[in-house]
Amino acid sequence: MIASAVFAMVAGAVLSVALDVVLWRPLRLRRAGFMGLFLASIGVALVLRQAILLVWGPQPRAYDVDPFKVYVIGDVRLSLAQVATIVAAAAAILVIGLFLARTTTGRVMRAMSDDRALAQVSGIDVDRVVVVTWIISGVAAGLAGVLAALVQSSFDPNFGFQLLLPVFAAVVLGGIGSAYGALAGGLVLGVATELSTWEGFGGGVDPVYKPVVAFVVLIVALLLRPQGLFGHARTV
Amino acid sequence: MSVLTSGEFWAFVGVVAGIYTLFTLGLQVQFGLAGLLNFGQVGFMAIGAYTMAILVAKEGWSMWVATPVAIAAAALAGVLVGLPTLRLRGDYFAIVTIAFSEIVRWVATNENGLTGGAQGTINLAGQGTAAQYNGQWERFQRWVGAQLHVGDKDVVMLILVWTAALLLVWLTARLARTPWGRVLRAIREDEDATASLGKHVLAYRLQALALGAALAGLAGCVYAWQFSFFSPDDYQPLITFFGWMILILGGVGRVWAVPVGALVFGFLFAATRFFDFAPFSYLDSADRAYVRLMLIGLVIILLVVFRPQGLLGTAGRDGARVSALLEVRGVSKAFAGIRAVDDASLVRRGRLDHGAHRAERRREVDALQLHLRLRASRRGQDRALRPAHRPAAAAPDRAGRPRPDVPDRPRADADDGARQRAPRSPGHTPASASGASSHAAAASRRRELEVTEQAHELLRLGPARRACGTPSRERSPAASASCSTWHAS
Repeated sequence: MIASAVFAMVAGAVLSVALDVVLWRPLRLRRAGFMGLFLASIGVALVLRQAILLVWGPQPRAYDVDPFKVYVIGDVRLSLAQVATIVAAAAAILVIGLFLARTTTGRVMRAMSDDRALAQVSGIDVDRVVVVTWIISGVAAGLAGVLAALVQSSFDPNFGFQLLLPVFAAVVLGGIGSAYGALAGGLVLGVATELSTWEGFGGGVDPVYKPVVAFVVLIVALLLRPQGLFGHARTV
Repeated sequence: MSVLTSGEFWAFVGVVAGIYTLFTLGLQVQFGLAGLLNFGQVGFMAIGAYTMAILVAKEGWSMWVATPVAIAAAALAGVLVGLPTLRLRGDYFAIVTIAFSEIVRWVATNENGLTGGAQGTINLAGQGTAAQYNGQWERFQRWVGAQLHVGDKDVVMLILVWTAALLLVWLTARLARTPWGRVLRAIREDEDATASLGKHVLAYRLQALALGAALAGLAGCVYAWQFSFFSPDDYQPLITFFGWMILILGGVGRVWAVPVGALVFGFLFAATRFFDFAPFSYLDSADRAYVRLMLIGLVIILLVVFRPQGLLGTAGRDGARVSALLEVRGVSKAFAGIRAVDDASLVRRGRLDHGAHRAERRREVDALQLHLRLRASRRGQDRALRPAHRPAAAAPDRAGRPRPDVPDRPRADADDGARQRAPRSPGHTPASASGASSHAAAASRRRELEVTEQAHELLRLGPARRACGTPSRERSPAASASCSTWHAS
């Protein structure tokens, strides 16, 4: 299980880098705008998803994990999958946070996100940093996929899209371009959606509307802070 | 290969293309004209379709009343979505609109009482009775068929859809050439510059969003009639991306390319559904659906990489990558009976991605505007050529004498005409009050000469000539001056 999870992470990284070489790098050179990049990524998602459907079929699958094994810590009962997810996610956050804060590559990455041209004239090898970024995001995406599938107990080829929108919401809420913002955005959205169904909270919202709550939170937050919680105000 | 000659296949291609033409036309208004990245168009389509179906099937309204109401509901939804979100940055707006379309689908899936829930419109009238909303439509279709002596239902549908689609394409193309359309394009190119001209950017964007949403609402109604049944699953976010693919396929900003893109898409879409010869025969129908979407994904990628300006487009004409920065058409000017400029056109092209570049272009536009304004004010009439963002800057003073202007002074007080003119900002001229005014006038005359020179350079007329260029203090009885509106489109 762990070996295959590691394999998934590596596969995610390899795929990301390969896509960068064949697709994103040419697009960057052509200075494609947001619209082009966004549409191309939707196209990639479509091709990948349909390829999975074509090869492995549409049926839902589940990992071979005992759903009844429960850990009790005080008043909290956690399944094995939940424990694994919490531990792995915390470790990933810590590693990525340390990487961004302490290593040279991490600092270079942040410099690039601030001002790409300035980073380039400072002698930073932009292409190399982009590749490293893709590797990290591929590994993180692979890990996230495994963990989400673990927690949801069953998954099918379409489940990526269901994850995508809450992920978007979290990133936008935190402010595009801010790693800590994404973390905070994810936490705020997750807690807000779960709390909204709680009966002590104004009777609670019908659980089927949890995703709607997430987006209402997002829209309200953006009205108050259009650049996201941690984003930088746009300077013209 | 018999499929390619069958009427059924082409009727399907045609109807699908017609519906997507309506749908994408909305995106063309929103993105092609106003530059709005709406990735939630399908949500408006769903609102239109559901409003129509609910009003007809549950409330027993006439289709002829319910459909306009449905279209209005979609437009209203556009306004409601736009009001809080249009102030956001483009990429945020895009994501919020996807979220909106998913919220619509989510509500439609879960509000069983209102929409029939996941089972779709068949469930509209409650359990046990099969609800229908298209009886009146079918009667209308039969009536049209009888009038035109066309028996085949599909052909009647084809005629109806394309009549509506082409009519609306034509109207939209007309709309794009109105002042309203020009303001939208100006906003797309440079929001700040347009706002500085006194245009209410948010209001224009809201109007574009609502208009595009209304078109999607109509597409939703037509879709509903064509397939006689729909469920929330018909309004997946994917539909929006089909629309975007059509938009790019034809070319962003070209209204007449939408039907062409839609036909190509309709063929691609239908081909993988109907084709039964090799290599398609190796796959069962579910697999073919996967291949179809894969193909569409690939087409989107290839288009973005190789032809972002569209299949029909040439780079540079209203395309997404290159556009005219300064466009002046049909300028004619005559002074003292001498025709100085006759129907001159000028298009400057370039990229918009350098701030410095952009400021430079704007200075050029300013210089041009100033020049023409000076000529107009020299005639003591000062009409029509005054740019809105410098009100009354060159208005003649009360003595009737023209007043030269210092272009670096952003605002001039309209009331200071009778008084001694003291420059507001001591930028180029000494700040001391009345004694310096002749000095200031000399400086501004020099400046005026420079600007005239610059403007002529821009109009490619060579150095300033006496007939139309040299500034002189005497008032020339100008014959006529006409000037097109300019816009950076």
